[in-house]
Amino acid sequence: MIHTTTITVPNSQIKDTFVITAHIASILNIAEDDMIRWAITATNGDNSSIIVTYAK
Amino acid sequence: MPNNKPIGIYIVPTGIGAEIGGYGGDALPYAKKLSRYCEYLIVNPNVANAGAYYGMSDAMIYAEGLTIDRFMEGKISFNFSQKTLDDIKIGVIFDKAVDKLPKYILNANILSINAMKTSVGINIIDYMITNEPVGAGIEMRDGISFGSIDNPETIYSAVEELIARGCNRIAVCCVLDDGNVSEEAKLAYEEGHGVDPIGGLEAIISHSIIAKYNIMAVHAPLLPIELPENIDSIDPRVASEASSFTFLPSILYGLSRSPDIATKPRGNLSVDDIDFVVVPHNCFGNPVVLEALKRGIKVYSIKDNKNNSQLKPQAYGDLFRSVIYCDDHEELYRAMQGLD
Repeated sequence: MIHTTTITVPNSQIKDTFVITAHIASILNIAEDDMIRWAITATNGDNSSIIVTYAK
Repeated sequence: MPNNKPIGIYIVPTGIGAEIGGYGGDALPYAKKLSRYCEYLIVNPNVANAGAYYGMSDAMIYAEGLTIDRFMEGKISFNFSQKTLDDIKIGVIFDKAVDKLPKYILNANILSINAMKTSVGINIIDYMITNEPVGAGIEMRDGISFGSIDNPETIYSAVEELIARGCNRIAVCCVLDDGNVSEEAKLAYEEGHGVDPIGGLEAIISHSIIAKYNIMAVHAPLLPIELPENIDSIDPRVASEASSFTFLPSILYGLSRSPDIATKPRGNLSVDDIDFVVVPHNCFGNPVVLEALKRGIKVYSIKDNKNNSQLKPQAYGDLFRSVIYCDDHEELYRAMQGLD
């Protein structure tokens, strides 16, 4: 099944796509290859909301 | 690749409520004009898809959003030449759930395949219906549209069958369950002040195919269409969709102008060839922009293309400091003439 969810990541991690991808995979406990796409949708103070689509 | 004019990327992410490009192919005229100043201009499907209407310039290249992400990350490159276009073979997939919709919907889509083959000359090899319903459901959260797919495996089986028949591009058409979308949200979209409720899910469906098979794929919805009695309530930006019984023609035409995805050896167009990226206002939270900035590629943000992104650039230190802001597309075109 393919899911979409929203996670929160510190702005300090928003530097590089490879860093962000690794961070998201760690939070969702999925392999990076199972991540289909992500996008930052909002900044909330020191954090960012990221919408993530992944297979699991 | 020769570089007499700049090569750029113009994206309007789908499902974010962009004032320009958030409706029915309404960014296409802006991209076409921009392409006059470019050797090539890569656009995502949301820029060019306009239901039964289409019309890209020869400089425009149509590439699905996930492939543009990976292209910018340097994970893939593109091959784009006359030979690429001559070798394109498209397969079309219909969701079995179309059985539950009025028969005219499938018929209109099959007729459009035949029309695009015989009257436009698009090389469409075959179509097939998935063995089981796809189970695609729309959701909306924080002004962004997205969704889920219960049964991607039935899509994958169809993709594998079409690849076995020689197809190298996939158009996939699913029935989208909009039970989670309010009537108010749908009406707001039609009136030109809401988010395209299906855009995010459409991107997820095509991304899932590309992620698994590394083949260019794009989604067109299977929707019951009721021509409106009162056209005054239909925003002109939605008119292409409101007047289309099938959304396939623009997808098929786009795929007929899409590049091959290359891994090794590298294709003739790579991230190293890209001179600029254009996005809606402050729409920076994606791999295309982050990779462009990392690589020193110019990023233009169009201020009057407002959208639902709530990213605040100043919260990320210097990360987005080099972004070039243009008030509108006219200012962008002037900047392009300076680049040329």
